[in-house]
Amino acid sequence: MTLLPGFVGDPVPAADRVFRDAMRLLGAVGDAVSGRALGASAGVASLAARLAERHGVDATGITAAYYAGLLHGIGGVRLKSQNDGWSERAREISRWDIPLHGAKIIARIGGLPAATADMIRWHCESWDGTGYPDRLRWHGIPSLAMIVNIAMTFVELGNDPSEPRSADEVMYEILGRSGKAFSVPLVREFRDYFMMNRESIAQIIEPPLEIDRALANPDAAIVAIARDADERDERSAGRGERIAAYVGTTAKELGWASHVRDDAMLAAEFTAFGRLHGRGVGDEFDPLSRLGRDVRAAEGTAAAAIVSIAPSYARLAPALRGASEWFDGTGLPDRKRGDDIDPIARVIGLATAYESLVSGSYGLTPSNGPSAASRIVAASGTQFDPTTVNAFVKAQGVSA
Amino acid sequence: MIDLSERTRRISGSRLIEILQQYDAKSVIDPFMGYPAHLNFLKRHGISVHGGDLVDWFVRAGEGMVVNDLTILRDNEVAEIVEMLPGRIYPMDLFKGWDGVFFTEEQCIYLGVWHSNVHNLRSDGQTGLAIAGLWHVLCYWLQKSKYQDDMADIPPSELAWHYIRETERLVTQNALRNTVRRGDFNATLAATTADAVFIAPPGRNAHKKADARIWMWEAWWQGDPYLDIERYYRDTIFVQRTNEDSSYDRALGAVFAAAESAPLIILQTTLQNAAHFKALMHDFRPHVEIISPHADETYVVGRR
Repeated sequence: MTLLPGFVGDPVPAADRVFRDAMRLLGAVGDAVSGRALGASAGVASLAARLAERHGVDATGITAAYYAGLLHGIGGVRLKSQNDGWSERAREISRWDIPLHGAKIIARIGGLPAATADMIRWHCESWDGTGYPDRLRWHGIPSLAMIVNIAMTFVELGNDPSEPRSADEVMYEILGRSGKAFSVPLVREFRDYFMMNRESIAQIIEPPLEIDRALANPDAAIVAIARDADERDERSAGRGERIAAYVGTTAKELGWASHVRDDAMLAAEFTAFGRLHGRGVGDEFDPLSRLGRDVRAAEGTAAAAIVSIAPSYARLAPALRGASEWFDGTGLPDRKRGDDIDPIARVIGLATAYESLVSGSYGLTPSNGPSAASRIVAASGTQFDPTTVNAFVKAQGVSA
Repeated sequence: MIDLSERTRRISGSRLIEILQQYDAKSVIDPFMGYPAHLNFLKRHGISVHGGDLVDWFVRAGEGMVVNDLTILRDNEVAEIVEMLPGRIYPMDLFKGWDGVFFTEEQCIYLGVWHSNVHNLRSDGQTGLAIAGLWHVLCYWLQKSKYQDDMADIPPSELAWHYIRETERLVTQNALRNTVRRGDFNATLAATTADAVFIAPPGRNAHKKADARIWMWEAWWQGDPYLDIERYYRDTIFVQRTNEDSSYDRALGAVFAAAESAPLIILQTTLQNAAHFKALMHDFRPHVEIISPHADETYVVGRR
């Protein structure tokens, strides 16, 4: 897939910018799945990088600390959806594996410093041996992983809505965990850094990019994680990929340029990010009914908010946000109508509905292709754009 | 002030399970178990685990964290461990020898009280959880003696309560048989069979460099503040002939030989020593490879 179509200029900075943005997007995915405000992980990353520099590590170590901070929550996308039958204890134990899932995901992202995965694997370990997943203790915990933990704790406590704290109060909370959660020398380093940089400690920075550019493939990394997100629930496994396939063939039928088609398929894969929180409630309703529109719109809005974090991908936001609009203007979230709806959104909305009908996602009775196609055609002009419907039916080779 | 080790060997259950899964091993024996957090991890992830060690408190902790599937401690039971019970006569001076050297007088009294209370527990599982939980208190105190002004002052019983509860969170079951035993590697490996043997052997002369946090807790558990943990190892093959490098290799060879029945041997070492141990393992296994996710955490894996 091609990003930044038509770009003219020095390719290295452009590629670096896309890589940074891709990681920022994944950081937002980690925030979303952890229930944090989007962008919170950027604060963790900035502080982790500064503390790593203060600790005296080299440029690669600083980059690793930065990306470990940015992506520390990403393991949540592999945490299987938990139904109401799970006990609180079972939920807690399953959460202990989030750093481990994260490490496996990070190891798959080409280009990042090798140490990044281990920093994520062990960023929840405690100095006293009561952390997770391994219950490592003392010097068995890599110091950079503990630095990420300090940065994460600082940001989380500072943003805890249940107990608002000043930066000084947060610092004292961390001092209080010295010798328990964190090693004493590292807490001292943190305290000294805080005292010297109290005013600027919350500023977002980005360290120089020390990555292996030959291995970097940001689009592939995001798509793989989107597929992981769909795998969380067996009912949605492979869904984004199937929707992307429908979108790709339809876009071709519509005669779209290859870079637009690539964008459309990428956006279709990213619909998975909207499903991170929900349980597909919207799709427990018939996707061609008005019931569940609000939930489907919320999913699209959530996915759009995530991609908007990263400027290189923000162009896909209208396609995700508008996928639950109806052609006649009665859809959500913005009640757009006709050509006001993003063209890619129109295709994604249609492909998503068709996929639900055919696969029987979320407990619907699966329809065969012609039956689903006839229902899609029947909704032409109300829910779906007639031009898109014609192209879709032709592209899928199903007759209504 | 006591000198605490600046190096801790990283034994990672999460790393180990990746290797076990790669070779489709569903059970493992660790004859040099140590503190069994890694076995608890493996148990939690569906591996049948068997551990052995010469240090009794490690084995007792294993009773709580590895063998124990269900037993936890009610609030009143934790209270009966961490506080002095009315009507019970305590040996208040049991750890007086440590007073002023490693601990305060109050801490020494609590160590005596806890020693008595834990020895009065009837369940192996509860005893193991209490031993493992209270060990964290000892570690906290030793650390605090080094960093007096940096660490919070926490009342002993509150600290003990916190750490026993923390340890109790580890109780889990995997519907498989999991065991621990006190004994040397020969006894452990002879007692059971498994798909894999994990070996993180003691280093050369490790018995002379035992971490205070380990030997002191054995001394506490045995009720003898002057206990010399070195005598546990005195007659083992890792100690007898360590004056020459080849004696260590022979000792390791004896472990490989004792692990003969297991299809897989996983030796944890460092990248620096991996090639040497790979050559050594070749005498016992035709297929040997090195897996090195980190220079300090390298595995030599031998298959039949």
